[in-house]
Amino acid sequence: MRITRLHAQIAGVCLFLALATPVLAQGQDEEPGPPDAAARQARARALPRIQPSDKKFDPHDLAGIWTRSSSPRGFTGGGTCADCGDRGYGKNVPPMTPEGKKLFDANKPSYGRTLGSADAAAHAEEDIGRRRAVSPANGTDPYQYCNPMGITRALIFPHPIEFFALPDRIIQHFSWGEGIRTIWTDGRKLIDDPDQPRWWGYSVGHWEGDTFVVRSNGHDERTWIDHFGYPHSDQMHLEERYKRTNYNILELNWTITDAKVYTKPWVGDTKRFHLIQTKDITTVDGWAGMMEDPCAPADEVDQFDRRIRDLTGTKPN
Amino acid sequence: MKVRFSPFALTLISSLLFSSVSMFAHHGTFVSYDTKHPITLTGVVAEYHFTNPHTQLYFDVTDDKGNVTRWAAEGPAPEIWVEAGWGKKRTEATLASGTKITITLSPARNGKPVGAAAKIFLANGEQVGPAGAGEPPNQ
Repeated sequence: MRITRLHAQIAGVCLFLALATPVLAQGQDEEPGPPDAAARQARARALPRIQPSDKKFDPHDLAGIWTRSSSPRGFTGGGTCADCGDRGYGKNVPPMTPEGKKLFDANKPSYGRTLGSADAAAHAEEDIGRRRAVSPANGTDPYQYCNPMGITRALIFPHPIEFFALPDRIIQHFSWGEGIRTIWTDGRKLIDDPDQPRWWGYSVGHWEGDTFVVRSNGHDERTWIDHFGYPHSDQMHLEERYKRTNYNILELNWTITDAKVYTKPWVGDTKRFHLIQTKDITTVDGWAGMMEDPCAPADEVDQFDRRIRDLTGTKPN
Repeated sequence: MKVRFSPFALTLISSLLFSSVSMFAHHGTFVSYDTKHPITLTGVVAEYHFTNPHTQLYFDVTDDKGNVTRWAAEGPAPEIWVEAGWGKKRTEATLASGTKITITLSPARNGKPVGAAAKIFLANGEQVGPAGAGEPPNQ
């Protein structure tokens, strides 16, 4: 068969669509990127990281550095990436209580489709939480001031998370923001309605077969469930179910129960992580291991927010 | 067989590519910028800060009447620079105060002299930082 120029063009476009589909499909928080972002995305797409491995593994061994990012070093930043999956907690948002709706309306995120835009109007099938982004200068995202992200949001963020397994606890060290969360495995029970809510809550974990089940409560209600600004109260109970399905893959299924805010439990979307090695993350002069990745108010709040972010909004400067 | 893509196909591919890309800002910053209409400016570096999660570049642009405007631009996080081989010392030395640069950025939607940096070039045409492929501006 003779290949015509038209055939070649159609094949080329189809090939491109096939390559781009995973990105198009997952990019529910499409914010426009800088003009050069395409090159980084192309590199990331060429290096899919969440791939099964033939290596043997102990399903009860969760220790190591896990990440949702597709970049070789496990960092992506605030946007989407090729195989990070969706950047929200879950798309099936339950109806909110009147109090929940009030909290939801008070949160003004800067992720998702821009509030009032034609883009937002064209995607009425999406929950309104994903179609109400405002300029960060006019937003209320607690993380703009380097407050701790809280568990759900930190787990979604596509930067490395190191799990340390100790005899009586598993510690999660979240690279971005340098967050530390302790999951106690010493058999203790959660305290009902803890006296003082915490940014990282109170967590206990146990094994059910090959699934590590974590339950937590006492979450400070100032954190957001995800960067779309879905709220929770200090009555939120979170259940996380971790399963290492492969040497290279860790899956997380989770459910939020918060009767003060949501009229029924909210089952989040499955999140997948892949394993990276300490040597994968190095400085330019060869120091291997987790990077120091803080949100330091001295840099972010006192400098960036004041000198750049605030200038882009409509607030008086 | 010599295969050439028509302008239509190239436009389609380009629009799909740019509509599907993501970004690097940690706080949804790009809601604030007009990424569909990047501009290119030539100026002189006033300050550069290799700070997490937003690197910060401040530079002065002089118009043909001699008026100087101080611009501010946010850039990718340090880890993205490091991934591309640009550490703190090299970057800060390259973008030292007084360095002449040409920068392509997405300007703030509100018209203020602020932007999200995409590509930075030195006067000799050398590209600075982790920007993607592309020709230097004006070439």
